Amino acid sequence: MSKMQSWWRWISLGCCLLVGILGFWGGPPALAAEPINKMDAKLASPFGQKLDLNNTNVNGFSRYPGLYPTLARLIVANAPYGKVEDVLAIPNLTERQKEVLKANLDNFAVTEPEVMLGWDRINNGIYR
Amino acid sequence: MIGKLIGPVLCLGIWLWTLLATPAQAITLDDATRTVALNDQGETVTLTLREAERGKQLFNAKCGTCHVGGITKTNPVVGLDPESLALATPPRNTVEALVDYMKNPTTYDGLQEIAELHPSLARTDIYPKMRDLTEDDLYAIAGHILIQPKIRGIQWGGGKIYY
Ligand code: HEC
Repeated sequence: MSKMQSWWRWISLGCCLLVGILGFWGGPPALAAEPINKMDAKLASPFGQKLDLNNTNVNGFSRYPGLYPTLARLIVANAPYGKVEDVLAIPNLTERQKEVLKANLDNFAVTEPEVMLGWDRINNGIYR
Repeated sequence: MIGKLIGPVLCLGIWLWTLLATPAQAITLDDATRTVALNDQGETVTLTLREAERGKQLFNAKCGTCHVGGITKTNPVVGLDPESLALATPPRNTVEALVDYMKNPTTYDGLQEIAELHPSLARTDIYPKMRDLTEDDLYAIAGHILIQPKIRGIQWGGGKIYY
């Protein structure tokens, strides 16, 4: 083996070691924090658990009796709401509708209106 | 010795298993399956085999275009599965409530009559298919809707992925 070749071998070995060590210590810090996208974050808010008056789509209101479709449509059309009770201030509600809404206040939540939802605010296309 | 026997024994075992398992697994319309809720007072009723059979035929002929497999093609939010029926206003998960729907259909919240949009006896002028249905027929159809989930489980009203 010539002198040239063995010198070259040491250089490459050194490079490998260097890259290895750098990679080990200087690895990407990204995984340090749990990765979470904006939608997952939104789902972790009350939007993911209750009927969010500012964000839940019309079909979502069929989960509790009496809300779908008439009140669901009114609720979506009159959004946004600052707090859950504001839903009772929708104009021209009948007494019966007010009662249904009052009985459901615990099932409602209010979070910031989420622009990212787009048309999913009306219909997210998930039926089952 | 064991090596020689294992093949035949396995074959025999599988053969015996298919023989025993098939009749037990086959779905039979026994009395319990044909017993469904009559009204919201907790009364039940048992359809005869003939009624159940007739309910199936009538349902497929009169309702199947939209409600095949218990779904609602034209509004998948409001299906004929037990959960959807139970959450309707008034609840539609009994024979009497379903017969009432076939005479006077309403929106899911019970607030509006939709006889102009949904087949029923109220408007046989626009839904001529409904003209020849007798009270017994309505009863049989309602029974069929309530029997199906007991046989097919989630397949009734579960949608395409369960067909
Ligand atoms: C033209 C399509 C069509 C036909 C035919 C049809 N339905 Fe429907 N059905 C619908 C639609 C759409 C709805 C949902 C109505 C709504 O939005 O409230 C519905 C809803 C129902 C509901 C209420 C379900 C619930 O969860 O509250 C019942 C019960 C029902 N149909 C029974 C029948 C029966 C019985 C027949 C046959 C006699 C029939 N339908 C025929 C379209 C149809």
